[in-house]
Amino acid sequence: MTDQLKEKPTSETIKTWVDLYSDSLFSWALHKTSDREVAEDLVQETFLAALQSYHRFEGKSQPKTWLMAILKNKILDHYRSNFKKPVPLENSFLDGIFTEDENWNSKETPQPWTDDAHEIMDQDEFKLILSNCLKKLPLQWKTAIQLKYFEEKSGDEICQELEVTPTNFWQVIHRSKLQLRKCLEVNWFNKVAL
Amino acid sequence: MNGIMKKLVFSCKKASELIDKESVFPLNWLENIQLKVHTSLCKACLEYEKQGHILDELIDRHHQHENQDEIPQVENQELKIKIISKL
Ligand SMILES: [Zn+2]
Repeated sequence: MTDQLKEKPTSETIKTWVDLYSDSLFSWALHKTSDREVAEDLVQETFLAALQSYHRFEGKSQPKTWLMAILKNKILDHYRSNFKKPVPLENSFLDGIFTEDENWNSKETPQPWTDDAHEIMDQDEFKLILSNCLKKLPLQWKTAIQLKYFEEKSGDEICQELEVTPTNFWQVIHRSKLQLRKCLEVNWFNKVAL
Repeated sequence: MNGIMKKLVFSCKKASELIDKESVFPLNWLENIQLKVHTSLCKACLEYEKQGHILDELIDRHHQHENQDEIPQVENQELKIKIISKL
């Protein structure tokens, strides 16, 4: 296998790999980022990086495994840079949640949710609303949610990978959850009351 | 909440922060006690804590649902052509 690879020009080998593996890589990237354009860019960067560092691929692992490792690093870089993007100022809805002396604002005080979580999760309408609420989060917050829930990693692992402090991370989670809670309340739980 | 209680147990804003912090990192013993005292006295924050757990479950299940079997395989022929042209 190794000898065969070395006989062919590198770019030809990589082209074969694109043909064989780009769909798998793209599917993975799309699943992780939920963004077609971003996923395409990441896969393209992966193959360009593979071409450049081909000398480091010694045929010890499967090409697909090696490409996946490169892609996973690219996705991590993507999360890292998203997390560092500042949140636009118009997203200051949080200001109204608490009063100046840090109590719940009367309109924002959490009221009991009457629906059973297990039941609503199977309803298409609710799933759509939750999807939309997740999409509406600022990029930085959405990244934090993706890492916490989709990657199933511990807080410490996430902070290490993002190179951020625990405080920085949980504060972002806190803001995301305040917004998600409010979004679900307005669009679902209290909708009848409005 | 009245003034004396606030001094004893801190604000709802702080309590809500600790509630969400706890979903990612373990609280230290002092934070734990403060939060327990606060939620035993404050219905709103107790509700926020409950809803936080529901939210966790909803987002978890939402993603699992999208990820039921394997990751869906998506073909992208245009991308293939685009990448090959750049190599
Ligand atoms: Zn409270």
